[in-house]
Amino acid sequence: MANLDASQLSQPVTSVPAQARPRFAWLSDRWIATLFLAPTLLLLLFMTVFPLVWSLALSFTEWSVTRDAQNPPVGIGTENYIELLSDTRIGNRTWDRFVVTGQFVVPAVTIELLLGFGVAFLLNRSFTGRGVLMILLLVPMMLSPVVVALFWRFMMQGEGILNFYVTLLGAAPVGWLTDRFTVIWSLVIVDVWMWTPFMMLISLAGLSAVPKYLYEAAAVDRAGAWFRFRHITLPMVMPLLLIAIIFRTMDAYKLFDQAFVLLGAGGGPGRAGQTAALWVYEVAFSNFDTGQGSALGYIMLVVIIALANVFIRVLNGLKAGQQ
Amino acid sequence: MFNKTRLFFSVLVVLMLVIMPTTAQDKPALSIIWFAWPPCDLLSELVKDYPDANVTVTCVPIGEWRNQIFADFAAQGGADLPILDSQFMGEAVKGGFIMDLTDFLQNDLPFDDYNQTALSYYSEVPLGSGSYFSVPVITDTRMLVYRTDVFEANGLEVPATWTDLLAAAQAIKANADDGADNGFASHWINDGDLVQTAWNHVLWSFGGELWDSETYTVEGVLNSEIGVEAVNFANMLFQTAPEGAAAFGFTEVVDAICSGSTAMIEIWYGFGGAFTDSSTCAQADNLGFAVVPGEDEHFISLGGQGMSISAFSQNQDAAKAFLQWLQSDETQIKWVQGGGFPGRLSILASEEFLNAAPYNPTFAEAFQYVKDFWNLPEYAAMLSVQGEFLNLAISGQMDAQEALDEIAAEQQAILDEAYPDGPPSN
Repeated sequence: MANLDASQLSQPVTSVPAQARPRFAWLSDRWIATLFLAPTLLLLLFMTVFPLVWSLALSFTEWSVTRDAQNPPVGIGTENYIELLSDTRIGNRTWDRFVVTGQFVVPAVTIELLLGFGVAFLLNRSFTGRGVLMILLLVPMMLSPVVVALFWRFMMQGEGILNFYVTLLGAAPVGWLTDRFTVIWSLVIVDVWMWTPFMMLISLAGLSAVPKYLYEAAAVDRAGAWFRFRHITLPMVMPLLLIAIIFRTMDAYKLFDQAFVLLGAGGGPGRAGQTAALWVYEVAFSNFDTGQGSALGYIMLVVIIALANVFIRVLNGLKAGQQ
Repeated sequence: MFNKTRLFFSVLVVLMLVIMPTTAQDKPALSIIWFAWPPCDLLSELVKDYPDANVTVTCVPIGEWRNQIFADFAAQGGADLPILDSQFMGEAVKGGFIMDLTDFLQNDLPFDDYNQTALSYYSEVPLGSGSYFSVPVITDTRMLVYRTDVFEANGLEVPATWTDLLAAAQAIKANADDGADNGFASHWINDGDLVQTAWNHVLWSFGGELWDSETYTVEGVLNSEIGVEAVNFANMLFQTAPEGAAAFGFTEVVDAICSGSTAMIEIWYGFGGAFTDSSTCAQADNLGFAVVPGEDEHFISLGGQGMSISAFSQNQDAAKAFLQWLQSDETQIKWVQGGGFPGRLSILASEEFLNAAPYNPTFAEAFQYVKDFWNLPEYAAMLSVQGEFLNLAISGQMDAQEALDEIAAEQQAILDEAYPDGPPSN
């Protein structure tokens, strides 16, 4: 300041000098946002979109990543899809794997829903020790599926603790992991044990969100317990339940880790527990039929998208009905 | 001044970052992959003595062993020294995933001292071609482990044939007071090649075959009368096993005899160490070891593997140097003293080997009868089909003829698809 004379200070400022303009004036907020997002987008493109497109292309080829490593993929059109969906050879019936998956998903999700909702209904009140009980009930869901499957495998062995209790009851030992007609139920039992708490948690969130005044109004009208449940509780909780069902169905449909540890990639005796995900694994990473494995992955994707759409339509229908 | 100091330290830090990894990597790093079993643990210990490289050994579950190695190959990476089963060799060579070690074996290793049967099965692709792709790291076959006290209580002799073995197993199962509830157990689970290797030598000893390797024919060969007889025989053996034996893998078979529940098991020699320590095997003091019997013929499933060098390894010379060290007399003696089974005849005949374990003296005899099965790139698909139906038939959940018909039809379809013009000419 000492170097400035009075005449300089008295001159009015008529324009901003060119060098004082922001150096990155050209960088708009939109550009900055794009630049910050670019690394993530590029990573996503590389890690997700590229494999998706590449595997889609491979699904139309006959190629094995191990046996044909020295040769380029050979295009065969839709032959992989046709073969997978029409092949009637015993070991290759894709349809069977989807049936097995359905045999697992339907009972598992149904039982989890009923049990989870039932337990949530019981917990939806205050009583001593409710917090501790909640935490204990949530423990299975917090464990690693591999760990859960491992200790259930020990318990389900021929001379394991489950059969010990079965024989105490006077019944014959059960081939939990060895009988082709039982293994699917073993998968259901383990899944129900692990994921019922998830259903319980979502149900409890729904139940606690039901406005109390509705029940008070119903009580004034002398409505019975069943009427209150049927016409107040259930409709109010249903959208959340449906979301829980969507999550669990999609998750169960992709079942891999528990089944892999309990029964191996082959799905146990006679492939009776080989879910669609295990089947994809066998085709793509055991047989290394890369082209066919990619096609199978896309068939799974289409099925799950279709299922999710059905659920979302039902959910939207419910919401529209409520409005 | 400040800027110069800052510059100096910046340069120093950069130099340290560049130099430090080089110093830490004085010795090359080598990696080995094998499946989880006692010899893999032994190898993990043994490599600690190797002075010229930092060697790490990864032991993966047997069901994932092949998949892991080939997934690594597909990514053009993985272990420098993969240990491959004999049946994987064709696929690995065809894919160009492992190095040709013919010259190395012939010039830098005691080629003539190797058990030539083992060397051919583990290393030579195609068989008889004179091209070798691995160095035998362990030779193995199957042994019979039996409870001497139970045999004595029942007045039984060590079985000389499969029929004798079944009779002994049934007698033991029927006798509630002999100290064992069950007669015989093997790994009949449908996982990896477990049920297949447990049954194949029963079939071969009964005079049957898995396929005709000349014409690549399965139908009519596998599902023959002899095949059905061998499956039904295995089912009778299964009935003398503990509850849940259809899901028995290696661990359950070892437990069956060590816990005292079962009087006889059949397993790879490589598991031998599990039977000699009474602190981990309650029945260790009561166990006897014998050669797995034959029937009309005498064959025993071949085990053991060779160590290959990955075509994608950045340390191929170091890997060769390591193999030379591993195959040296001194290291091989340590290997057998720890419970390993060598591929070299001079080591097999050595006092060190014969005295290393109570079952070792039977090994040389057993190894005379070894036989291997398909060494094809389509191995995994063939194996999967066999495992699925064999497990069902042996455990009595499927008719033997029906099971073999299904296997034969499916395997024939796999071969016909892979070789539409017939077997390849070598």
